[in-house]
Amino acid sequence: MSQVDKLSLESQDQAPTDHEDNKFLNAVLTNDREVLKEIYDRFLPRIIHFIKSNSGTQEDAMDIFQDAIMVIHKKAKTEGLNINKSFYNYLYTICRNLWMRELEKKKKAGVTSIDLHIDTYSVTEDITGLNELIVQRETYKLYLDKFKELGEDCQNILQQFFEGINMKTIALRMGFASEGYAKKRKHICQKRLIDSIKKDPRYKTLKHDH
Amino acid sequence: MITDKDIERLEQYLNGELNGRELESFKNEINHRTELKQELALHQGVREAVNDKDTLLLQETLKEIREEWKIENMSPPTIRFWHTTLFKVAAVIILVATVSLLLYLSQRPTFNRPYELYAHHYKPPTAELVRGFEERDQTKFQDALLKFNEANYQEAAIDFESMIASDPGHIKPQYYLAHCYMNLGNMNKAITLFHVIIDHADNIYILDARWYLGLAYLNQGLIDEARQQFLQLQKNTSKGKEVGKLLSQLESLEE
Repeated sequence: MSQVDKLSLESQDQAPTDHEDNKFLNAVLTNDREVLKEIYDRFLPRIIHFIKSNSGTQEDAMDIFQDAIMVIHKKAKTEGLNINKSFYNYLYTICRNLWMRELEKKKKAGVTSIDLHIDTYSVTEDITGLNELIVQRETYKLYLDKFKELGEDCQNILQQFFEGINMKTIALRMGFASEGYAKKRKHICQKRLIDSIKKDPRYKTLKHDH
Repeated sequence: MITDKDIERLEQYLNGELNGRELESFKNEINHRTELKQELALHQGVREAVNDKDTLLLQETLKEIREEWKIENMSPPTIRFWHTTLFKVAAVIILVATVSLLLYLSQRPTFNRPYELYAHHYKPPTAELVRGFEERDQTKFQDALLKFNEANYQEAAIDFESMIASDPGHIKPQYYLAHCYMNLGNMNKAITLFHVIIDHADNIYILDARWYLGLAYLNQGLIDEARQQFLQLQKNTSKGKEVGKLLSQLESLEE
């Protein structure tokens, strides 16, 4: 039995209490590193087991797990979040939905070995607006991936511009000779970013999903 | 097709700069032009994503935790090759790697003086160069940065000093001038300039300035002053790990 399988079985015996469910949710909202690590230690092995049992790999599972936590974060921040049952069931439901989407994409791309029938190992929650949240998460992920591909100066200029800082101040902070130069740089950086987003294959798919 | 004029008006709309008739006309146009509506959604989405600092921080934390978790919990190989040639080859490679690691650990740097910590950690930054703009001042500045990147600190310092003399509010030349002084051995001037950058309190060089100020203090043997800067930096997630390592090395120095 692999180490991950052992961890998966052990963690199933340690069902979280209500107090712990709130603790986990707060950790996601407040970026509490210690408790987030506990979330990984307690729940990731089970998600790995689930994904590997449904045509996936450990790396797939880690991607899905991270995305699911980001979806919880978004939902909690924008709509407030009340977990009526367990944090794990909530997390599992999102992971399951995310993995279903991945499998459908692979099937459409012609991977014939994919079986779209997913085995369910845990109780799933009914989460309103989950699909919209997932599409939004994937969209933001695309934008941020492309943003990080820009040079450091471009990132700094755009970050400040989007925060509403005026071009004169940006020019001063960046050490540019003039406001006009700062505007030119911003225009070029923004065009580069938007064009790279549009060229990414994910953009068309997400436009369709919206 | 989306034109540059469309983008300009989009920006004005998102910045709240359109009023009255202009605003009504633009809103009307968005309702009638699907591609303009989609372009607006894209620009709006990008702004929201980039501005969402909480989400970005959480993402970084999760990435770090993921790497840690992988190291702690990597599954062993599923193929059993105990008695195969492949296993023997793997065993030899592991043995060689272990011996190399032990040799490396025995030769890992140890530090006896603050100056040694400075020498180990200080690396001058590489300035990002941008060509293709016609403004003369910007070309002079890019030339100075090129000299800096080529380690021609004496000449670069002269250029930066001249720029600062004509415009004392420019932070970027002050930042690179401070590095010129560090590389020319003039620590006191470097320290003064890094303090100016930090006290300015409204520029993108503050975190880096603290790091290098701390290193400059180490160069001068001023351990308490150095520690003060590094402790301030430790609160910032992006530099936390590196600073933590240096603070541990500083403690070992003082034992």
